[in-house]
Amino acid sequence: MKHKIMWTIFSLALIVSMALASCGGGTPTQAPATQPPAVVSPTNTSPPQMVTIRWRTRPDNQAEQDVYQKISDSLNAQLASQGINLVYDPSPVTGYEDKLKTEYSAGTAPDIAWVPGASSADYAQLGVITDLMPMVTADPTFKLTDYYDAPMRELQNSGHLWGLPRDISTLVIYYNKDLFTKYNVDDPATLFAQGKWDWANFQRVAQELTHPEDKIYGFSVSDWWGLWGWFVYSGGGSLFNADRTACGLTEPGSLVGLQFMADLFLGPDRVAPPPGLEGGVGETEFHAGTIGMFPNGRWMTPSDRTNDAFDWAVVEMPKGPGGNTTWLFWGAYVINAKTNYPQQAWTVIKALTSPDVQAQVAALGTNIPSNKAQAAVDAFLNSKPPADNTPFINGAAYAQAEIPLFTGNWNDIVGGQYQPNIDKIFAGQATVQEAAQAACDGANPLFKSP
Amino acid sequence: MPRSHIDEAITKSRIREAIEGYLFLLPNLLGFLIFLAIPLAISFYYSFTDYNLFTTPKFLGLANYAKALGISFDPQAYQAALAQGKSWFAAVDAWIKPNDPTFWVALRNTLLYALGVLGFSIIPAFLLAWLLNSRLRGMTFYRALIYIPVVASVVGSALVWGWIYQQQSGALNTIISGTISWINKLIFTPIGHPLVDPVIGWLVLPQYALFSLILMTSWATIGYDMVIFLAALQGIPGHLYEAATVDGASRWHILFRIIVPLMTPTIFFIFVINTISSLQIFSEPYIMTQGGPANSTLTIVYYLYQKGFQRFQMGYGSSLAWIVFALIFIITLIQFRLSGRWVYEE
Amino acid sequence: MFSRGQRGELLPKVLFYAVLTIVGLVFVYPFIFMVATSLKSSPEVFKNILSLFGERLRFDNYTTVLETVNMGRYMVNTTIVTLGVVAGQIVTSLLGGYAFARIRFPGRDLILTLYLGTVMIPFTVILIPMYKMMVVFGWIDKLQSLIIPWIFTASGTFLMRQFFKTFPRELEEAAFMDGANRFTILWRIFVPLAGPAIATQFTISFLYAWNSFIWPLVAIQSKANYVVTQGLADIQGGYHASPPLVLAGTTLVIIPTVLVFLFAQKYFIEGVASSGIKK
Repeated sequence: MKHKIMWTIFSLALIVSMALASCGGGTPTQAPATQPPAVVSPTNTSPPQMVTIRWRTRPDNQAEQDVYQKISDSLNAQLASQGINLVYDPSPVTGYEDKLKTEYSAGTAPDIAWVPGASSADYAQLGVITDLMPMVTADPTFKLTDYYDAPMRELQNSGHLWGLPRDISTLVIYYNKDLFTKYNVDDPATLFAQGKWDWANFQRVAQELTHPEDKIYGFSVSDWWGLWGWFVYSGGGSLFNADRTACGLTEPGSLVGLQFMADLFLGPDRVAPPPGLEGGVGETEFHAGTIGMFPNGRWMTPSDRTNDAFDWAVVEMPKGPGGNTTWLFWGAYVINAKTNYPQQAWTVIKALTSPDVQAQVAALGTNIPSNKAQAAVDAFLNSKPPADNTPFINGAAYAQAEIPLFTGNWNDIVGGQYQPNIDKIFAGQATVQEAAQAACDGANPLFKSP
Repeated sequence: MPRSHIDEAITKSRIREAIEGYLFLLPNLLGFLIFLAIPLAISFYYSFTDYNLFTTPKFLGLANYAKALGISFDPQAYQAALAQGKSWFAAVDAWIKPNDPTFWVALRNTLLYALGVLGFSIIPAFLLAWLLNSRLRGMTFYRALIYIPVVASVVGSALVWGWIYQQQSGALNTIISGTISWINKLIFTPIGHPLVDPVIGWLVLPQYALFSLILMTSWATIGYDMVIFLAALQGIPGHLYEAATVDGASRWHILFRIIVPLMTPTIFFIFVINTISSLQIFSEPYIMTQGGPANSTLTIVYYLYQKGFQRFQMGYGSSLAWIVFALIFIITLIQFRLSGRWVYEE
Repeated sequence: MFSRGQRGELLPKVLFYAVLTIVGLVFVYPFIFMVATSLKSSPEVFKNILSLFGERLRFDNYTTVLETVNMGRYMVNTTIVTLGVVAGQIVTSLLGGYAFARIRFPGRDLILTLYLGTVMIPFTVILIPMYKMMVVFGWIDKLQSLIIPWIFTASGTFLMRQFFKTFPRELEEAAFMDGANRFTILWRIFVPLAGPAIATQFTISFLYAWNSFIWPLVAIQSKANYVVTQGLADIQGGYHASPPLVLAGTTLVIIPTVLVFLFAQKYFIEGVASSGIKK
C-alpha cells in the first residue's frame, strides 16, 4: 500500500517537474536594464540604434560585485545616448576562466570580459579577442599613456593591443605591527625610510620575530608563483630569458634569489613554516596573527580589514641584489572577436577604465587604478587602512608586470614545470640547483619562437 | 510438419520478448545514445587531433597517445648517471625517458589514491554496517552521523577540511598539539623525553597531501558503502540467523561463514563502484590542492583537466580521458573475471 | 550483532554505544566545526579555532548570506532540477534494470557492457561536446540542460539489475500463468518489492543532482537560474575573506540533503521490515 503511494508520488513528481522545467524557471533573465526612452536627436540624423553590450568581470568579493553592478547601471544610463544598452553579467569567482573558455569555444562569450594578465596572450593567440590598435589610432581622444606603462607594454605585441588594464595590484609586504612591538623589533617602515630595507635587514627582523615555541614566525608565503617569483627577480634573475624563449631559472641571479628564499624556509634557522597553498588558506596564518610579514598584492587588504585583530601596515619589498624589484599584477578587459558591435564595445571599454569608474572601485580597497589620472590615484590613496598606501604606488614605478607569454603557454610552463619543482625546494626534496635545472629541462622544449 | 506451429509460436514469442525488452529499455537507451554516445564519439575523435578549443581540430593520428604512453630509452644518460656514482635505481630512472613524465606521476598518484580509498573505506564500512544492523535503539541516529559526510557536496566538504587540515591554526593540528602536550605533562616530560609536536603540514607537504585527500574521501565514502551493505544485510532472511543460532553457531561463525558469503555480490558491487569512482577523482584536487604540492595530488582526471581546459590542449586531454577509460575498463574486467571465484550468486 | 533475543547484557551494550558514539563524533566533527564557525565572527575564528561558541551566536551571518546571495531562489531551482532527475532516473532504471535482469533480447549483454563502460568515462571529457550540443538544442541557461541529459543512469540501471536478479523466478512464472504481461509484473510485483533499492537509488540520484557543480557552472549563466552549488561558489568567491559567512552558506546547502537522507533512510528500513521480503 505504502509503495503504491510512493509510486504515484514519483510519477506525479516526474510529470510536474518536466512541465515546470519546460516552461517556468527556464527563461534566462538578465540584469535589469533600464530601457532609455527613444532618443530624438536634435540634428537631422536618425536616432541611434540600441545595441546591447554584455560585459563581465571577476570581482574579488561580494562588495566589489555590488559596486560593479552599480557602475554598470550608471554607465548604462550614461551610454544610452550613444545607443548602448549595457548589461552586466555577474560571474562566480570559482571556475571563472573555465566558464569563459567554454563560452569562447561555443561562441557565446560576452562582448567584453576581464582576463588575468598571464592568460591574455593565450586568448590573443587563439584569435578569440580583438586587436584594439586600429580603434586606438582612429580615436583622437584616447591616449595609451593614460595608463601605467608596465601593463600597457605587456598588452602590446607586434603592433597589436589586446586589451585595456582593469586595474593593477603591486606586490608589497603586509606586516603585523603588534608583533614587531611585542618583540621589540625594528619597524620595516622606519628601516625603509632610513634606506636600510634590504635583504640583510629583512632577514634579521624575520629572525628576531620568529618564536617557534609560541608558533610565531617572522615570514610566510603561499606557494603561488607571484611570491616565489619575486625572489627570482630580487636576486637579479628572471623567470625567462630576454626574448622569453627559454627558462631563466638557471641564471645566476635566479639561483641567488631562490637560495635566499630556501634559506628562509629550511634548516634550523628558518623564519617561516612551509608555504600554504594558494587561495586564502595560506594567508590565514597572517590573519590569525601568527606571522610577522606576508607578501601579497593589494587584494588582501579587504581580508585584513575584516579579519585582523591587530594593527597592520604595508611596506615595499626589500631591496636585493637585483635592486628594487616587485611585481605588478594586472588583468585586462578584452573584446570578444565575435562581437557584433566592436565600436560600441570600444566605447564601453574606455568608459570602464576611465578614472571615474576606477576611483569608485579603488575606494573599496581591493585594487589600484590602472589609470594614472590624479583623481583615480587620490581615491586609492584615501582608501584606508592601511594608513599609508604609498608603497603600492611607489612600487608600480619599478615593478615587473605580470607576463603574458606569447612564446608559450604560461600555465603549461610555469604551472606545469616550474611550480612542481619549486614545491620540492619548499619540501626539502630538492636543492635549488636541482630544482631549477629540472624546471628548465622540462620547460625549455615548451617554448616557441616569437 | 506437425511441429512447425510450435516452432512458429516459440519464434513469435521470442520476437515478442525481444521487442518488449527494447521497449522497456527505450528511455534508457535513447538517453544513452543522444547524451552519452554522441558526445563520447566526438571526444574520441578529438583525442586523435590537436584541438585548442577554438580553431578547427587538426588531425594528428596517434600522436597524443604516443606522447602520453610513449617511452624512449637513453643509454647515454644511464652511463652518465653510473659514472656520477648514482645508485642503480637512479641510473635506470635516467635511462627510461617517458615522453610525458607528468602523466606517469598522475597515474601513480591515481592508483595510490584508489588503493588508499578502497582500503580505508570498504572494511570499516562493512564493520559499521554489521554493528549498526541492530534492533537496539538509536541505530538510525548513528547511521545518519556516518552518512552525513556523503550528502555534503564536495565543494563544501573541501572547504571545511581545508580549515581542519591547516598547518598552523587548523583544528586537527590543534587537537594533536593539545593531546601531545597533555600526554607530555602526564608522562613524558617527568621522565625527561617529551614528545615533539610534529605540526604536520597535511596539505602543504608532498609527503602528506595525497594521504590527507585519501582520508577525506574515505570519510565521505564509508557512509555510502555502509548504507548499501546495510540494505543487503537486511535483505538476508531472518530464518538463516535463527537456523544457525538453533544449530549452536557462534556469532563469528555466523558472520564469516554465512553472512559474508551471502554478501559477496554486494561487496563485489561496492568494490567495483568504489574503484571506478576513485580512479576518476577530480573535485578534491580541483578545490583543495590544484594538483600540488609538487604534483603529489595530481590525479589523471585533474591532469587531463589541466591540459584540456587550462592549457588549451583538448586533443591531448581527450586522449588522456580515453586512456583512463581503458585503464578502468581493464581493471573492472579483471575484477569481473575474478569474481567467479569468490562471489556467490543465486 | 545484537539481534533478536539478546537482552540483559549491560556492559557490552554500554561499550557498544560508547564505541559508536566516538566513531559518530569523528565522522560528524567537521560539520560541528562548520556550524560552530558559521556562528562566530571572523577574528574570533582565528583566535580560537576549536571553540564551539564565540562571544555570541551570530545568526546574522546567515541572513547576510540569504540576502546578498539569492539562496532561496537557487534552492527552488535546485529542487526542480533534482526532482526531475531523481524521478527520471528511478523510472528509467527500473524499466531498464528489469529488462536486463529478466528479459532476453538480442544484444542484451553487449549493451550492458557498454553501459558499464560509460561509468568509467570521466565527465570532464564530454563536457565540451555536451555544451556544444546544448547550444544547438537551445537549452543553454535553461533548467532542461540540467535535467534531460541526466535522466538515464548506467550505474542505477546496473543497481536495479543486480537487485532484480536476486528475485526468484517463481514470482514471474506464477504471474505469467495468471496471464499477466511483463509490464504488470514489473509494476505490480517487482517494484513494490524493490523498496530498499529504490530508496537507495533515490538517495544516490538526489545527491548527484543536488551536489553537481561543474555542469551547472558551464551550462547556466543567469543568476536567476543558478543552482545551490553555484550559489555556494559565489559565496566562497564573494566572502573568501570571511570563513563564518562561507561556512554559513555551506551549512545552508548541506541541510536539505541531510533532511532528505533522514527521510529516505527511515522509509527504506521500514519498507524492508513491512514488506517481508524473501519470506
